Amino acid sequence: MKKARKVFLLLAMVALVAAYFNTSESTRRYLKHIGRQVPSLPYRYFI
Amino acid sequence: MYDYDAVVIGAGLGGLSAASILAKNGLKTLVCENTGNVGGCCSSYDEGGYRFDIGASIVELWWVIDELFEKLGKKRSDCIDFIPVDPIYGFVTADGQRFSYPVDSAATREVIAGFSSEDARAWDRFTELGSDAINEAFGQIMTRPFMTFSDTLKVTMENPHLAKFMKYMGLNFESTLCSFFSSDKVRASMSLQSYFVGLPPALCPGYIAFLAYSEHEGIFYPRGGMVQIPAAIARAFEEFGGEIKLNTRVAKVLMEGRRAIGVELADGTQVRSRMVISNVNAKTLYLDMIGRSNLPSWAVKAIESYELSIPAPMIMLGLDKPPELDAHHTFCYTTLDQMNSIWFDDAASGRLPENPFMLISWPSHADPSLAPEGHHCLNLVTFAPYDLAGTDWDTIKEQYLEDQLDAMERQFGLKLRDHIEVARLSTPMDFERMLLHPKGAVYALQNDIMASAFFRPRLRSRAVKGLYLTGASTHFGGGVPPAVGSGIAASSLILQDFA
Repeated sequence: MKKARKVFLLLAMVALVAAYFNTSESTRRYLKHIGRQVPSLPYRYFI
Repeated sequence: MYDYDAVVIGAGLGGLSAASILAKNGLKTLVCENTGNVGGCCSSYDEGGYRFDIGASIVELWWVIDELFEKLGKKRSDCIDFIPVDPIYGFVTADGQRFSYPVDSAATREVIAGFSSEDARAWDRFTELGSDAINEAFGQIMTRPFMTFSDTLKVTMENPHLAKFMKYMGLNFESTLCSFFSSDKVRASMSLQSYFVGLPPALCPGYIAFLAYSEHEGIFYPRGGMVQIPAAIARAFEEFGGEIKLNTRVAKVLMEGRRAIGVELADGTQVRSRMVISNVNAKTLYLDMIGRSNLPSWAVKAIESYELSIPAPMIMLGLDKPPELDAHHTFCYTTLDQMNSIWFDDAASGRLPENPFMLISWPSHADPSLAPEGHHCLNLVTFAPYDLAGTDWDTIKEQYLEDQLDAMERQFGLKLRDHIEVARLSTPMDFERMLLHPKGAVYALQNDIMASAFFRPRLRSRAVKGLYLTGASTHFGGGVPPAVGSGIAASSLILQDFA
């Protein structure tokens, strides 16, 4: 069960990376831009 | 103990809107303004017989302003005369093509059909969704506090139309346009609006793309210049007993522990108040006027994490004849890629754009009283970085003006040079000094999806008690209606808190 979960997570990650590289340059820029800000969100929520 | 119930820092639209509602409700309110005029970015000044707007150039979503005047017990039409503007935009492309989009969306469809019949059909879908976005979804939440997940949940439950736009929150502006239109000229013609929130089409959230439709609900120019909007609000404010001090700079917010208890002016005068309302950029407020040492560490991290929108250097021209333009606004552009390139290539390396795009406003087209008879005034809005490699804006000021006039001639065939009587450039550094916009960011903080709604600085600060925010740094961002909306929303919270 534990192994299956690991495989599933790995496959999901591979799918996400593949999807990222299959998108247009414009979308990649957008995702990079918003991804960079994710760590700040917990602080921003309270300000 | 207190000199006032409320002290407002800045007489921009957000601050004035909140102040006027508070004064109407009996609160003793003082507004301190750094410049000699009210309005912030929505103001005007006179030079050589011409009246020039310094920032905002048009009014859309006018019902937000009407709502403010209703709250003040007045009719907007008795206070400000809105002149309808049509067509919305004229376009001049680098290959010499000229066309315009009328307010009537069916007539705009015909123009789009000239580029692509498929895009004309897509325009029908776009306007249908755009009408929902403006009339049912976003237009209805502009005057409401939007600070927490539960606010969002509540608003979404009350307004099911918002759910339709979830998809466009995950897409960028460019992809949203591309999902409707195939012609690059049509896509590019609707992409300028991304810069109205200070971001290129690749970084701007997709739902902002529907702004291109909002103008088809009608756009207006206030007779006498954009300053007439804040001037009318200021008159109402003073009528209710409010006090405005112009040329009065607030140096810092007075603190008692984590509570704001007034402000200290640049001349050292201290003004004590039950609450402080800010209409300046949130970074200026928290980092300069309050100071890191008076804030919890999480608040410093939050405010430092916001990035600023791109500056918009503005050129004001007084001409001795009418310009050869077709509309109140003319958008001069090449391609959508170029609009991204100004951000990703030029701004990122501190370069001035070699092939700029620009928005020309022609206010004397709608209101000839703004210039001597037969003469006209124009505003040219360009976009360029604040930090320049090896130089600064004070140094290149004159050259930039010349370069932009050259670009107008070279790229777009617009020859104005021989007819200029007055020419002035407001650089990002001028905006910084005059309106306290850090790095000249006239649209305040970047308004991307990670800095919107409950991720944008709250109208009621959690870091500092007794502190409220209005203006472009808060939900819904920059622009005339959002700024007024933020003032309405902030005042409703204040009246609730101090009832």
